[in-house]
Amino acid sequence: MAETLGSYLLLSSALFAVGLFGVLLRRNLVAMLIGVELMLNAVIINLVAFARFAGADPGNGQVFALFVIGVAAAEAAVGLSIILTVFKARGAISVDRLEELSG
Amino acid sequence: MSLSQWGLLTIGAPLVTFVLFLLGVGRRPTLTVALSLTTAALACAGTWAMAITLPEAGYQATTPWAATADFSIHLGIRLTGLSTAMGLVVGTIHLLVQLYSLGYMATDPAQARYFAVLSLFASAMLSVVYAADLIQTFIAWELVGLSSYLLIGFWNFKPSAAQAAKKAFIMTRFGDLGLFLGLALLMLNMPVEAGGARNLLIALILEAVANNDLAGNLFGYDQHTVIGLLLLCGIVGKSAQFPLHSWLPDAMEGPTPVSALLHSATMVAAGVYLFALLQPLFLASSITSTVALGIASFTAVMAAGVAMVNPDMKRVLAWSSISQLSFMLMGLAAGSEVAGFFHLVTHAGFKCLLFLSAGIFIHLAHSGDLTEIGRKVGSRSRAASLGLLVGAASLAGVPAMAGFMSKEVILAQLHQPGYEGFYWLALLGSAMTAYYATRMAAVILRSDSAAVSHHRDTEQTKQEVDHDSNHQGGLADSIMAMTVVGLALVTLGLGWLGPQLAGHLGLDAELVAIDWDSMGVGLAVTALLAGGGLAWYDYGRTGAYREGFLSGLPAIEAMLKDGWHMDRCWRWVSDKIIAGLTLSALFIDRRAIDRSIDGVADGARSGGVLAASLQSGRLQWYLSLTLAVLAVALILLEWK
Amino acid sequence: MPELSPETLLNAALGLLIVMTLAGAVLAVTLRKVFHNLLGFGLSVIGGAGVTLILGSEFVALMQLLIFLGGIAIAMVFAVMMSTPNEQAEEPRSAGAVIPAILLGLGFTALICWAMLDGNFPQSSPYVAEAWSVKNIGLLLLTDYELPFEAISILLLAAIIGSVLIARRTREPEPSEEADRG
Repeated sequence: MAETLGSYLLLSSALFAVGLFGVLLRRNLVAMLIGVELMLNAVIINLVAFARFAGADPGNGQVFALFVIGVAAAEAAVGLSIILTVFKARGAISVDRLEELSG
Repeated sequence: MSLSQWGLLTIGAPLVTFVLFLLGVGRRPTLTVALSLTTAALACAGTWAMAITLPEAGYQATTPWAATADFSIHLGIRLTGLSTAMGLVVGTIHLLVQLYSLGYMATDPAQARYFAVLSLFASAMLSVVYAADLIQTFIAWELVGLSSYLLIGFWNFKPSAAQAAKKAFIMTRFGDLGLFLGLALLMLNMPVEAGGARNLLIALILEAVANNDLAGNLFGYDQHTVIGLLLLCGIVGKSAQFPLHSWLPDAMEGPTPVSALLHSATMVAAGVYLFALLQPLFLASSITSTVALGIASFTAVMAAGVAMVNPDMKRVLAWSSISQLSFMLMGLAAGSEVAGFFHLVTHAGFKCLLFLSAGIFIHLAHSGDLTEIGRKVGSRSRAASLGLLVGAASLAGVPAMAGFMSKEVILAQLHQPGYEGFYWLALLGSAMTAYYATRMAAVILRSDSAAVSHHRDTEQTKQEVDHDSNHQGGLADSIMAMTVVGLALVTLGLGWLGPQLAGHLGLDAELVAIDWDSMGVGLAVTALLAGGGLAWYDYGRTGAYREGFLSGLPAIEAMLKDGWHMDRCWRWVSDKIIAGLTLSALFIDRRAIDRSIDGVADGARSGGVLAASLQSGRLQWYLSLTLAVLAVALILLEWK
Repeated sequence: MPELSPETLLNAALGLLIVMTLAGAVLAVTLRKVFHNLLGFGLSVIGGAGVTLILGSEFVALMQLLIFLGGIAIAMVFAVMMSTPNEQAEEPRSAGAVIPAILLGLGFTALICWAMLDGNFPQSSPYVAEAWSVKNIGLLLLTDYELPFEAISILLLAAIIGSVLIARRTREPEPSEEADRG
C-alpha cells in the first residue's frame, strides 16, 4: 500500500473534499479558513506523492510543495487580518452577515 | 561634471523629490516643498549647463536597457541644439512655476502632494526632451500624461475636476494609441543594426530618413505616410488639436500654476516638440505634412473663434493655447526648421506669464469670469496688470513683442506659393487672436471707466481685496508678484533672441530675420489693427457697449460659446440620424422590428433578473458556483 | 502470526496516519466551536506531515509542521481569541444547504479522482536519497526555480505589509491619523 501512487491520491482527494465541505458550509470565517488550509494540505501531499512516484527529478514536486506552503502562509496572514477588520466593523465574524454585494 | 552626469541630475533630481514624497517625506509639507524647490533649481541649472557646454557636434550617451534578438531598447540622453533649447525652456518655466506656487498654494492642505507631482511632471517632461530612444520618449510621454492627470484632478473633491482629469487622460490615450502603433511600425521597418537587432534611437531614425531607408509600400501607401499619420495622432492628442482638443479647456479645473506649466512648457508642448524632433520624417511625405497643416490651420481659426466669446479668463487662455499650438504646427509642417520652435519658446514665455497673472486675478476676485475680475480687481493689482498687458500684447502680436517676432517667421514661411490657403487662414487666425487678446485686457483693465454705474460700489470691493490679501499673507503675495514681474521682463526680451536660438540650433540667423518692408509684415499689422481695433471699439473705448460684435449674431455667438457645438453635434448624430434610420426601418417592416425590440428588451430584463439572482452576496454561494463551473470545465477536458 | 516485515510496519504506520489525517479533518469542519476545529486541524496537519515523511520528504514534512501548526494554527488561535471573546456554538445549517454541499464536494472530488487515476503518469526513478536531500531542493530553488522563488518572496512581503495595513485600519480614523493625512 505504501508503495502505490493511488493510495496517496485517494487520501489527498478525501482531505480536499473534507476541506471543501468546510469552506462551503461553515458560517464562521475562521472555520472557513481552516477548510482552505486543509485543502492546501491535500495539495501538498499530492505534490509530494507525484514527486515520489512519477517524473524524473523528485526535487521539482518538493519545490512546488514549498511554494504552496508559502502561499498558504500569505493567504492565512491576509485572511486573518481581514477577519479581524470584519470583526471590528460588525462585531461578529459570521459570513452570513456579509451580504452587501447582493444584486 | 560631464554632460551625461548633468543629464542624469536634471532628469533625476525632480524624480527624487517625488520618490521621497512617496516614501513618507510627504508627511512633512515644509520639507517636501523645500526639497521640491531645491531639485527644481538643480534641474534648471542642469538644463542651462547642458545648453551652454553643448559641443558643436551634439552629444549622446546611451545604455542598453532591454534587448532581445530582434529589438533593443536604450535609455540615455541625446543633446542637440533642439533638445537643449527645449530643456532650457522646460527647466526655467518649471522653476518659475514652483516659485509662484509657493505663494499660490501656501494655504492648501495638500501642498506636499502638489509639489511632489509637479516635480514628477517636470522630470517626465525633461525625459521626453532629452530622450535618446523613441521608446524612452514614449514612456516619459505617458508619464507626462499621468502626472497631468494627477494635477488636473488635484482638487479631486470637486466632481468637475475629477471629470476633467479623466477626460484629459482618456482623450490623449486615443491619440497615444496611434502613436504607439506608429512606433511599432517604425521599429519593424528600421534598418537592421549590427548584431541583428533593430532599435528606435532617434539619431538612427533621422539618419534612416535622410538615407531614404524607410521608403517602401505599406497598405498601398508610402511608409512615411502611414507611419507619419499614426505618429501625428499622438501629437494631435497631446497638443490638443482638432478633433482631440476639448480636454484642454476642461483641464482648467486644476490649480492655475499647473495650467501655466501645462500650457507653456510641458504637456501640450510635448506634442509640438515631438513634431520638431521628427520633422524630416513628417516632411518626407507630402500627404502627412498637408494633413498636419490642414488640421493645424483649421484648429487655429476654430479655437480662436471660441476664445473671442468665452466669458471665463482661464478658458479664453486655454482656447488661445490650442490656437497658438496650431500656429507652431503650421510653421513646422510648412517645412521651417526654426519658425515653429521659436514660437514654442516665445509662447512658453508669454502664455506662462498670462496664466500666472490670471492666477493672481482669480485669487483676488474669487472668480474666473472676466467681467467679475474687471469689476473686483481691475488694474488695482499692479503686477498682474503688468503681466496681463505684456502677455496680451505679445499674444496679439504687437510688433517688436515676442509673439509678433515668432509668428512673423511662421507667416513668412507660409507666404509661399502652394500654401496660399493656409496663409490666409493663419492671417485670419492672427486677427482673431488680436481681437480676443485685446478683449481680455480691455474687459479687465478698462472696467472702471466703462461700466461703474451698474456695479457695486468700489469701496466695498476694495475692502474685500484688502481682506483677501491680508488673509493670504503678504509674503505669499509678493512672491507671486515678483515672479510675474520677472517673467514679464524676460518675455519682453524674448522676441529678440531669435538669431541666438537659430544659432543654437545650428541654423542660419537669416531664417528668423524679419523683412520689415515686406508685404507680409504689412498684412500682419493690418490683421492686428483690424482685430484689436474691433475689440477696442467693442470693449475698450470710453462708453463702449462692452458686448462683442458677435452678439449681433446670436446664433454664431451661441455656437462659439458652446465650443462649436462639438458635443451637440455628436448628440445630433445620435438623435436625428440614428433615430431617422430607425423610423424608416420601422416604416418598412414595423412589426418585425417591434417584435425584435420587444424580444431584446424582454431578454435583457429576464437576463437581468437571472443575473441578479446569481448575485446573492453570499460568499459561499459564489464559491459553489465557481466550483461548479470548474467541474464542468474538467468534465469537458476529460471527455475527449 | 505472520512475521512483521518492514513493509507491513510501514503500511500499518501509513494507515494510522491516514486515519489520523482524515479524522482530524472531519473534526476540523464538523465541530461547532472554532477552538475545537483548530484542535482537529492540528491533528490533521500532524497526520499529513507524517504521510509526507513516509513519502520521503523530510524537509517538506518539517515545513508543513512548522508553518501550518506553528504559524497558521497559532495565528488562528489569536484571531479567535481577539474576535469572539465568549464564543457560542455555531447554529447548524439546514439540510437544504448541507446536502447540496456534500453532493458538490463529493462530486468534485470524484471528478478529480477520476481524472487523476485515469491519468497515465511516467514511471519515476527508484528512490535515491541524494535526489531527496535538502541540498537538491536548495539548488533547484536558486537555479531552475529562481523566478518563482523571488515572486513568492515578494508575495510574502506584500502579504505582510497588506495584512498590517488591513488590520490597522479602523472605522473612525483617530485624530492623529487625520492630521497625518493633511
